[in-house]
Amino acid sequence: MKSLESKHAALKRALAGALFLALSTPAFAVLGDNAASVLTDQTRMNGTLHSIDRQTYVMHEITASYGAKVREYVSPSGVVFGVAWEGQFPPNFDQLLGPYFQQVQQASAQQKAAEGSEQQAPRRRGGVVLQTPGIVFVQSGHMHSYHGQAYIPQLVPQGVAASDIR
Amino acid sequence: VRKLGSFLLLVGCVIWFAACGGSGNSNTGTVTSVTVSCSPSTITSGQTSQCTATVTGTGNFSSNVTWTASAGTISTSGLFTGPQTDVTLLATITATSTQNTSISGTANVTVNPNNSTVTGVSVSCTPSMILSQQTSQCTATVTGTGNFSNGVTWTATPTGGTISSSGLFTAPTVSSPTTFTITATSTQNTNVSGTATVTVNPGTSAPNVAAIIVDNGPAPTQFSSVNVPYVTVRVCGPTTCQDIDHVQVDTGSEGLRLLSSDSGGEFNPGNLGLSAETIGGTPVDECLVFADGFVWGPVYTATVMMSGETASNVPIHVIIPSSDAPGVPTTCSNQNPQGGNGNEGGSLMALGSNGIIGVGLFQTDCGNYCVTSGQQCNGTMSAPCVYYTCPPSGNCVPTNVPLAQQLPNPVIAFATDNNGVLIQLPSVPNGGSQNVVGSLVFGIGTQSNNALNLAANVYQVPNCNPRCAMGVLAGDLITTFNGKAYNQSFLDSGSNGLFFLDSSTTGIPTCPDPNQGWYCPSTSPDNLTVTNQGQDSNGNGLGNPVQANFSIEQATTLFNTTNTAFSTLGGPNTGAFDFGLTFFFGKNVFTAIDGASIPGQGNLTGPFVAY
Repeated sequence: MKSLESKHAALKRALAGALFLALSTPAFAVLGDNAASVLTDQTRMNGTLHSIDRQTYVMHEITASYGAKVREYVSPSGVVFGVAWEGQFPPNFDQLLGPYFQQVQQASAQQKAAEGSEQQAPRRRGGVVLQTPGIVFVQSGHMHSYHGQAYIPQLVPQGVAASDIR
Repeated sequence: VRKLGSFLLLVGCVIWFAACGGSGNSNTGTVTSVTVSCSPSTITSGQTSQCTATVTGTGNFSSNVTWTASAGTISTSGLFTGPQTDVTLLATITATSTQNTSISGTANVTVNPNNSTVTGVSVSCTPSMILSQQTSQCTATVTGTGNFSNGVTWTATPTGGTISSSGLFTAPTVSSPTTFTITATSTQNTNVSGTATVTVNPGTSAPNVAAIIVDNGPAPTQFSSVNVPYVTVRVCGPTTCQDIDHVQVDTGSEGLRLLSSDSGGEFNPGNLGLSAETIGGTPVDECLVFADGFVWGPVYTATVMMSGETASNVPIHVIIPSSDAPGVPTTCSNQNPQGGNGNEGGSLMALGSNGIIGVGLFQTDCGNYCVTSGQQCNGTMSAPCVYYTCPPSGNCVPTNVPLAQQLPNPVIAFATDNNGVLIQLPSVPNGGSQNVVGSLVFGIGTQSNNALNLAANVYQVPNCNPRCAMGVLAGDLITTFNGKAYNQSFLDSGSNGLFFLDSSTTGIPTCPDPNQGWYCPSTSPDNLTVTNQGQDSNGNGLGNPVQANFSIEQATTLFNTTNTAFSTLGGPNTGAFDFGLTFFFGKNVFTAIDGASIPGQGNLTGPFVAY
């Protein structure tokens, strides 16, 4: 089952990569993509890059000209296994999460449909917490101030805690 | 068990005209007979029967009679009350002509012994928390055996409050929260009574106070909102105004956004003759992204009134469904985790309110970014899009918007009391309360009812203009839990829970599906302690860390009631504390606007929160 998941993810990545090339879409470092895309992101965001080697992974922080920050977490095998963001606005998730944005949308839609469906399940208002086997997505904040993280549990290297992605 | 109903006793001459007609002054005619009937003809001790007399005669005779009863009592209008008796007895009711006392008529009423007893009285009052001069309707439920009376008499203590014979309690003006005890006493057995309490808070009809209600949401009410504070906002065009109820009070955003009638809301800008805001002659639309969705629609100019405050000709946002034109740009919808399905303005159920009034820490909803960079936006991380110009036909184009044309925090546009707000909500016990009432007070230190010393501590927060250090965000404070500091924490009346950390950090499990967005502690209530502290733009603490305590109860248990306000409702979050409405109950919470000064507080300026 686990290998099936990762095969599926790999397929998605391959597809997404092909799609990105075909459309000449700005190649942002998307979740699950390779480390080289970090540099492309820096260019696209017109931002400054700050990289820190933390032994079990490398954290690349890109600061955009207006202050927004994206942090990309790259495993020793060169894969972006997690991203974190903070700034005045939420980021463009289509670009930041790549093919995983679909999974987030599905999980989010399911959660919204369950909430508010009955008296005993009122709507949660404030922040998003999505825990699925394929991806974990959390975002919190208020107008002028948002932060969040997303990571792929299967791609998180041994010895790295989810709380490191922040 | 019988519910006390309202009933009407019909007595007097209007109905029984024949029994009490006639002038009585000069009756030259002759009375020939008097007949009597009583209804009902069988009663129990203490009950009443209405008797009527019919007087016949010739010429100008008097219809007046006098009433007597062989047992019990009878009024001058013929209302007979059965006597106390141990055995069934027959009471003879006699009506005697006053013109000719030798002519009379009789009827019999059977009086059965009263074997009934009253065993209890229970009382409930809704709402149980009100403001000075407001009312609460109390009802009594009388229980007993046999044919007992459900009559009660009402009293309210301490003195000051008044209660009508139908149980409507009217609060006096109080200077501090005061609990009134409402007592209903059985009329049949005055030894049996029941009580309920009504808490009265000081909020008044002062010109800078708007009433908040935390109820289950706008009609139709099946939405089951919890922990959402609502106010009524008056919106005016050139000649007419409309009152919009159930607008959510949000200290986590800026600007007034109203749900259009196309989305199932109450608002239609055309009906008020509002003008669309334009830039270069083209209408302006806005995409506003929240943490869990977005709203989209045109910007209009309107005059906004709340209590005695007026914001004249300010931009407001009209929220439209995705099916309306102009369509939602993907540069907008891709900034939320639900993508194109994340339009929270699509329906009344999605938004849960008829609008949102953002009275947060900042002056406008976007600020300098939209003044200088809005035009270059391309929907990327480095250049998100907020405002667009949307020609009647063709695509929406991102635009720069000067501060004066951005949505303002409506408070800064008031002539007075324009430096921030105070939210006052009463304490809510574990388990929650229904329909809690509080106050949205405008201004800080500008009136006797909004002095900053109503709060224990001030927490200064950075505006990040132009920049904050890594990990430090505008409007956020430092919350420390278990020795670890989380400096992306904030207070937000627009969040309906206290959302913090995750299960692995707190040890508190989340609830089963479909409530996995909430905490369900295995030991309920779970009592937690944190400290809160202000911070500067570099993340250094400002002021002393101050302890804050709260409790979390099982959300599923709370939701299994009809309560609408919960002081113990929480859920997981990112690595931060979102102190939502859960945290506001029983506190005075100030939100001071960026750059605003506070009378009598020296150099202290917003943005800050204080509670």
